[in-house]
Amino acid sequence: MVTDPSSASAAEIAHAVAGGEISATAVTEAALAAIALRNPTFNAFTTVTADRARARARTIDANHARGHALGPLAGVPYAVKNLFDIAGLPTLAGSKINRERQPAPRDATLIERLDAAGAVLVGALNMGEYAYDFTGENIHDGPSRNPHDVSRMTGGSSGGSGGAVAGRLVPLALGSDTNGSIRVPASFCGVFGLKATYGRLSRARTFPFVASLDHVGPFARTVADLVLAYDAMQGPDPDDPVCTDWPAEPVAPLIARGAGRLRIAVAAGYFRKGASPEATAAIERITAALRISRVVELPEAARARAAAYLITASEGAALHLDRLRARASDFDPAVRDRLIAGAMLPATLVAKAQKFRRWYQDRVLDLFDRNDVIIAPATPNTAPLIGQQTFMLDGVELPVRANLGIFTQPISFIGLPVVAVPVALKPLPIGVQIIAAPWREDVALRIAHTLETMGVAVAPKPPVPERR
Amino acid sequence: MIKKPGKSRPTRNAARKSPAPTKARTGAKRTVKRKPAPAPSGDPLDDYVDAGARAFDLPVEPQWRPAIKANLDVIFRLGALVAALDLPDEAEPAPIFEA
Repeated sequence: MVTDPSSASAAEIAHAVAGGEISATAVTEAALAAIALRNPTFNAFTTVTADRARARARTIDANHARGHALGPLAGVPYAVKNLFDIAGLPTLAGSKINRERQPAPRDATLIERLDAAGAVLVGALNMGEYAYDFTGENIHDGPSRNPHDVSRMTGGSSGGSGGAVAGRLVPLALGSDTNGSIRVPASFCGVFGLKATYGRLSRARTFPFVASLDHVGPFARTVADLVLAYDAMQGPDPDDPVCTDWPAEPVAPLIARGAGRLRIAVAAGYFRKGASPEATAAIERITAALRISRVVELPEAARARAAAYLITASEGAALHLDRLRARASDFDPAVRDRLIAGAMLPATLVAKAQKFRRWYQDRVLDLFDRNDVIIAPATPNTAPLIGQQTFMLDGVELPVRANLGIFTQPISFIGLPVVAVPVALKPLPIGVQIIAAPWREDVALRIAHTLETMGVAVAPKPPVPERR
Repeated sequence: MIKKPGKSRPTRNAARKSPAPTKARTGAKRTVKRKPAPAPSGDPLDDYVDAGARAFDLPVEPQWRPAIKANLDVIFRLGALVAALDLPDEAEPAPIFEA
């Protein structure tokens, strides 16, 4: 029974709507009310698509009244990072410049697929400018704020996505992840995030950042919700040249299989060196729960992170070169200065980085001959304060902005599927990466579900504003 | 390389569409004029920024320079790390990555 639609899971909502316990319209109104109440605190939304949501909910209710079968996400409110095209709105990608773009003529593919499954889009979410960000701060829209402590970062660049799900504004959100932009905010906000294999989910009609590394994926408060969204969004898409031609492989029937005989190892070396006591504690909880004794070292992980950094700087600068020449003052200064530096990056280094990428991929895939899952921290620490410039990593003071992704970058660099699972440390949660071999999202989601069932990976409820 | 059992690797679809190039999509309006070359500063990174700004027709306001230099410093430090790995001449790049 859904008593509070704004706090219910997507699975609970869809079940209740399909069973006639509650209407899609009532769920939508509850979501819009939750956004009105809580968004002034969390600053997760940049646009609320109330009219579209109400119209969609009415259609779902009418279909239900006629006895039509409803989709697996019937009536579930969701929102998307504002780099996804939403028909009728300019696609901001967190920028000032893009506000002048023509309204998108058509929804992004993943929005079309979630809508087809019965979900109800309620708005667009705050993000770091042009996705070149790990903080969730945005000079144009203000920072998205961490529901667990509003003085702290959500993480980025999908900051609004992490904040909206953690803050009980929606049960489901979409983000993008080039170097960690799903996994970092999932870690800081204490929610689940899925970065599927590179090429698994269509990026069609999303504003790009780094074509070599861009991924998109869902955030949720439960693994079941992550899976519901993932299964609804899979499948070939001729509009994304990177998207696999393989048919969808539903994971929902598989996640309850548990850890079984899966060979699970913890990443050592590079992934321990920079980890804070909190990140280490989270790993230890998971290691103990799953009784993991295996240890692996990803070869040349530091170099992989460096190579991802170079490819990002170069491709990002190439994408924005004309805008930098003409409208540099309209960028967020922190993004502009990195892009200008990236524009001056010698091509020889990028070529070497791309050669190293294949070398590194071959060696990491060798590890998956002997292991099914690798566990690693998602972030080196819990959420820093908004505006914080530096932090200590392994005894060295380093810039926050450039170093929040040190553990995520060596993984997305070769497109491996990852579920970021939240560990509810006090006072702030922190995430752990469950990493699997390419195309084995099912394995990572099985482990995530096992940890959730054991109570080890849980999305903790923050002190959200409640209606009096 | 891990391959999916019973399935071939994903292949590119020749029918896939790429959006037509259009200036309107960038929102860019060129307004910056190329400046004359400044005298060498004695700081190689300053000179590199000056040369890069001229070569790529990029604006570099004086107040932006410290951050741009700091970012270039990171790029060259990480670039040196990547460049230091000895790879065979036959090593293939992965510009279009297939997992």
